[in-house]
Amino acid sequence: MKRIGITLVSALMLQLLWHAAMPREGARAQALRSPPALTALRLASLDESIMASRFMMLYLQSFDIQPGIIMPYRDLDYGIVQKWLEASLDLDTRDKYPLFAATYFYAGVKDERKTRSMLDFISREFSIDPEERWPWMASGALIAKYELHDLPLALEYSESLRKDATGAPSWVREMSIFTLEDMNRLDAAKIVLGGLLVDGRIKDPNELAFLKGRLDRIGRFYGR
Amino acid sequence: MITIARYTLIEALRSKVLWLALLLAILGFGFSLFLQQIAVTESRHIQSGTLAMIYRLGAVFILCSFVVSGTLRDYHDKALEFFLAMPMSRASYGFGKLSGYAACSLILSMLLCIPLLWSNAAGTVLLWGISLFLELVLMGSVSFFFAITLTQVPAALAAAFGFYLLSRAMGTLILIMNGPLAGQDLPRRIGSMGLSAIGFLLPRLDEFTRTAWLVYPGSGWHELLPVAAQTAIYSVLISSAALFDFYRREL
Repeated sequence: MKRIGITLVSALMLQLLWHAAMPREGARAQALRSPPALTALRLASLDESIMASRFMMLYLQSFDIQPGIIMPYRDLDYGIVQKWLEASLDLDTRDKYPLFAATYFYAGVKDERKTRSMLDFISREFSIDPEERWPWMASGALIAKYELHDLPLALEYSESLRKDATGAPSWVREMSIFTLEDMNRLDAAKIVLGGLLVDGRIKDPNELAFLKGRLDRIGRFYGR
Repeated sequence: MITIARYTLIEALRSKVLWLALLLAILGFGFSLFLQQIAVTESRHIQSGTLAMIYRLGAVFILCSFVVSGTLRDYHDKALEFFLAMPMSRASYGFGKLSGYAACSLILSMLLCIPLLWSNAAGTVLLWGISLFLELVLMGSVSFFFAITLTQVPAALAAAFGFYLLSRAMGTLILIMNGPLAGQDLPRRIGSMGLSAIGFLLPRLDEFTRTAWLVYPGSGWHELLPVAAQTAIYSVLISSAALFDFYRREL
């Protein structure tokens, strides 16, 4: 019994020493790889496509935080990011996460080419289901006007909203009016983000907090 | 039969199946709350969907392990001979055990439904819970069959879990086999036919206990009808097969 006790304690000490002697994981940025094939994802999730879609988004969302470093979104390969977003939507077309991330995370980077590619993605996905996906297209129009300073693109998006999102609230269908107006970013954000918040469409507490925080940040930037 | 069922239920309580289910409920809930905190949007869907996925897999794992170990404990400890020495048919013993496992399935499903009420409407959780109960009843019968037929714990457990995974993934496997990239040559066509034939013999578990019911409420009770019908058909089929093997076996 005593010998077993000694062996047990020795083995425990050895394990702790072994763990301490192992090299620490250093800071290293890994490139984002293409998502697995859809059928492989379905198979791996035992046909739980709805959850596979959401887990993919959580993985993609947290990819910028890697051991020891925080990688800016603009350093990601946007072609591959779009593949992840598309795969997530293919797994569950009703999932809002991919378009939310495309609008508020990936389209907001300080890289015009990458912002444009993400807006293209949002616009493509909007045309598939305008009645459900107008909130992100509305935010996309805002990004086109205030981030890219591309008025024709912002107007194009506003016109698409007017023509295609017939079930959207009136402020969405009238976006082309205030896109043309000379209003500042805060007032425009108040209309779009404020409209989304007041609308009652967004029920998720985390999303509500995120959008309120975004509106507050823009307000602080403009000193209001 | 009722005595055997009662004895099986007492055995479940003594095997700490309920404690294990409680642990699953608590750990699963904790993990789902963690994911809910990470998510910026769809957080409620992620929380309830993760919970449903973990509970479904965990409940099947607990039940199958209990059925296989319980049935084979009776077999190897000669308790089965003791029961059958009494004025009781093998069918009564078998149905008694299966009824006990069904009662255990009911308790498991009810227990695992409680945390889901945190973020889902009671009606949706009830729909999901009934489907989980039926899935557990079906998998209990399957595990009983493998335990009786294979008579060894590792083999029976591996067979039961393999059966479960294959039944859940069969729809996707057939999709891959018939996909545009699969080619049209003879080996593929034979493989596809073989897979479809296996698919016909397996229950459609991909239709059971769907996470979509919780994530996108609005599913009707009519969706439970095919699930109940599949459970009834397959439980009778697999229980008959188990009893057929049980009757022909020398004890």
